Amino acid sequence: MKKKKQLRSQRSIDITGFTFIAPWLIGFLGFIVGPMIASLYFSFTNYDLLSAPTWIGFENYITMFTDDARFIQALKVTFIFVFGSVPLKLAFALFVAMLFNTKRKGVGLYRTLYYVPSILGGSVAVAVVWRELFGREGALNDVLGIFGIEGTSWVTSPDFALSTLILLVVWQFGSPMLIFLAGLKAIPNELYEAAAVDGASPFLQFLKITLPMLSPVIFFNLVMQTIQGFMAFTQSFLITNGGPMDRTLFYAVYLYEKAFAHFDMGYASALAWILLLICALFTALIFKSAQSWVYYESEGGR
Amino acid sequence: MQKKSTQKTIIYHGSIILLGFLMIYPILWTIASSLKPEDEIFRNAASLIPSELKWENYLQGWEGFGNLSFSTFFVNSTFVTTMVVIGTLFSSTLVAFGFARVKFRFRTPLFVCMIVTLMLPQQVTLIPQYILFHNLGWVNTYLPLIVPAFIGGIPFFIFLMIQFIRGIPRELDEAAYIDGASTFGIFWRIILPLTTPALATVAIFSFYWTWDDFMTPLVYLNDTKLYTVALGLQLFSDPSSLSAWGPMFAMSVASILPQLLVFLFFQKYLVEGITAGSVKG
Amino acid sequence: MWKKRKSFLFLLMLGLIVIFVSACSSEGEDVASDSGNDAGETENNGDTADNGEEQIELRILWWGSQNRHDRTLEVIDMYMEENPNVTISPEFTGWDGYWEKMATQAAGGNLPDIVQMDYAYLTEYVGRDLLVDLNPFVEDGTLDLSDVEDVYMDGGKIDDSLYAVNLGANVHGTVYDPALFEEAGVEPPEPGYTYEDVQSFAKELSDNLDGAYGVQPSVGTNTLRHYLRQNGVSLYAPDGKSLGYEDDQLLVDFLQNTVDMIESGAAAPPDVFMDAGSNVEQQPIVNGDTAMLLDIYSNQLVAIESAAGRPLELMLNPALEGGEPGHFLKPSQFFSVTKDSKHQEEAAKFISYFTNNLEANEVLNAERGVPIAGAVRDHLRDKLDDAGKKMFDYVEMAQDHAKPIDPPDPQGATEVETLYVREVEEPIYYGQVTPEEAAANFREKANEILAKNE
Repeated sequence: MKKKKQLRSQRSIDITGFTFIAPWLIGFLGFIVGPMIASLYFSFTNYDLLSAPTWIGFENYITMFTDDARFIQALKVTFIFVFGSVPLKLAFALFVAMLFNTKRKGVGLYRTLYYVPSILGGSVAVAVVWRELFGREGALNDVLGIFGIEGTSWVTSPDFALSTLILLVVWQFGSPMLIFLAGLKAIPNELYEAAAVDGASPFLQFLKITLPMLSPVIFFNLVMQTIQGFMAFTQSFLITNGGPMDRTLFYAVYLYEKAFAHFDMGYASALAWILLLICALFTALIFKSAQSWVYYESEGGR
Repeated sequence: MQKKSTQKTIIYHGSIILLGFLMIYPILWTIASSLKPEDEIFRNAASLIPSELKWENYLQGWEGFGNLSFSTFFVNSTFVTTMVVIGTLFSSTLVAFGFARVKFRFRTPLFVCMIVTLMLPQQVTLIPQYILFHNLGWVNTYLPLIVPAFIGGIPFFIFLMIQFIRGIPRELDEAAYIDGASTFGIFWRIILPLTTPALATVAIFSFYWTWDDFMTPLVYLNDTKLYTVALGLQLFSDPSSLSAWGPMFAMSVASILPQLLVFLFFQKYLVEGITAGSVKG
Repeated sequence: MWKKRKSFLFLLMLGLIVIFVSACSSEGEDVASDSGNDAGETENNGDTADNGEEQIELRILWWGSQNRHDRTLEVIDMYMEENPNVTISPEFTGWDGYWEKMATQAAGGNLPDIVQMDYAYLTEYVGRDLLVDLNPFVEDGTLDLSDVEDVYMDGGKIDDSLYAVNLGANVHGTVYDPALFEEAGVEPPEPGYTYEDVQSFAKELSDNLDGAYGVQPSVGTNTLRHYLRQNGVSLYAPDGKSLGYEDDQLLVDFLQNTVDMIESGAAAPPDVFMDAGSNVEQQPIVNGDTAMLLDIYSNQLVAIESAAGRPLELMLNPALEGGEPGHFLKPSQFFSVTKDSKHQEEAAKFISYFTNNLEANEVLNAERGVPIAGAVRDHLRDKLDDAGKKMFDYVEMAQDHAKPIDPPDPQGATEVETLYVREVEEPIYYGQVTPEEAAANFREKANEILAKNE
């Protein structure tokens, strides 16, 4: 019996594997691949949504790179947004998660409170609320007023609008925080106990135990936040709608505008596939770098 | 020593509560607005204290539109969200286990396919997907909202579970394997219990993403009796004419409540999560 | 042995999936049919109603807020009571996402029978052959427009075909706060006041008021259209292939007027009004931050007064000395019948009821703007509240200062509008370009977009 198991044929492993991933595979083949191919096809057409697409080859792609200043602007804004918000958000999320990874009283309530901004993320009220925080007569300026600083309308200022949006996503750090928390919970306590016996300082413990043990989760958050950063839509769409003067024109907002306001689904699809390539490039880089810093208990040596 | 730790506790709680106020400011604002008379919401926007408590906003909001009240929307949302949470837990754990622990052929290319689907903006697949569901006769039912969860429609969760499963020491599986457990047995009896915190995370996220989702129900549901809460909230306002802001904020508060309750419930499992070490020992 | 177990497991999994999928699919349908019960009762009477007529189902889609939903739903019920052979299933949404939903349904060939249309989107939908020409129904009397003057219908016509029936008339204008004018000791504007008058009284307001500005300026497309019409031209050429004005100096003068006001302090600086957002209720005039708002539609007075909690007044836009009238009757929104509809005649009949029936309009209460049928207008006038009366009076008064509406915007107009907002309007407010630069840049890029209509 035992011997047989060790000699499991690749075929039976395949069957097991495919059985487990069957739900996803069915969905992928049935509902995802088709629409994806359709959108790839649209990207080579002139398609106004309401009448049939006509083939125009690479024209959409050529226009994008040679004759579309807003595309360049959208790229610029999105890159600043991603590189500004992702590291900040992850660092803050990890910090708060560590803070809440204790058995102190009331910590469950705190976690809930700190998760609130993320719950409000896409709700109707949030656009109004954000303006209340960062508008001319908003809460932030009230606080600044105490120190005698006269504020402006931060959300609509051409110079600060994008920074405000970055601040707002950082503020909605709830989901990476939860994932970090779940990850911290999975680190065996014995490791810390052993280290404490050896006299390691808390900082050393963080460096030698927490970070490596948490690295698969950090990796996950980094990948997902980067992808989500590139695809970010709601914040800009709800609050600034890309303005003022395209200073907060997220890539996805531009794409959306092309698709549904200007009825240019062909061009929007081309934009989408370029975005996919950009995301893929960065994701691949992160995956490649992961070999040197992500530590899997199940795969690494110990 | 005793004194020092009390001091530490005070600083800990004090700073958390201070920062916490910033976190819940928007919710306080929403609650305040939900109780203000209509002409005070924007005229006195910065104030968190209504001049009078206008509870009628809640009544008027709950009554909804015509003979369509918010209880309908809440029932609908609860149904859809529950199904999606079940579906997501079901599909993401199975699929993640397959990817993380079974070395079948084509594993890597398929994994890449899955990650890539995360990178294509929804806006461009919306139309082809609608046509697909329309041809299946699924438009104006809950199927387009629920079925994707059961078939791993949100790769985010699969990837999340994969990362957690990969963090579990492999000798646990091997030991169970030697004891005669089947692959499914390992999945069910070893991996699942060890990933409780991750499962709680998945449940929380899938709950509140679905509860909040506006676009999918908007596009696929025509009959207003099928509308979800997120859609219902949009029905109060029209930027170009008279919007019912008071009732809208009132119902926003009502819609946040279940999300908070679900969070409070599931976050326990983050605390009580069985650590890998405890099983190992 | 192992293999057997494997294949058993495989079957089990497959079975599970099938059960899950089918379980939730039947659940979904249960709920769908369950909740359809109200409407279902009439359906259950069979395909034929008592009088042997065919049972007809209409879908109707509109956007709006609670007020509109409640009123429209009531009218639909009234109509179904009068016409037992018709079942109308109402589909309504907020403004957000409305056009995505429409576009998706259009792509899927699944548009409702009647849809609420906006002036800005009319050409896009007509150009793609999605809407029905209603003239045949007008001619055979199904759609009764005998009580409607042409000026109310023109907005819905393209090349003499009627694609959309106006649900309420609007006129653009300005709104001011009489209390602030009094406080500053400034005479409120009277019809016929000019752009120069605005410059001077706005400055006076700003100077005399404590913490409030004279006007919230506007160089948006609404006010630009007004100015161009006063100069005898329009924003788009009649063929829609280029801009409708030849001389860039027009746009330069128009922009310079506002630039001057911002510089002199007569107008509020951009950070006062830019964070107001798109909701009328959030404009600074609500908080008393400005005494006058230069860009509004007549029906929005109701919303803005309710948010402000004090009386505000509607006023015409400034006049141009020696110029033509700039105002026009604008349809607030339309009902259109779509090509996907199988019961176009029944749909037209409902629109006719919606337009002409007195009781129905009593319920609707001019929420969509001033009704287009003369009898309905007369009937409603006395029943209105103050804000409603102001709106009626204003629309009537503005007609003395109006000329016919420009043809509907050409295809690509939404793109030109975005261009205008991003590269003319906002940079002008923030002082980032000169009017000359903005005007030249706008002409070049707008004509490039419009040239696609060749």
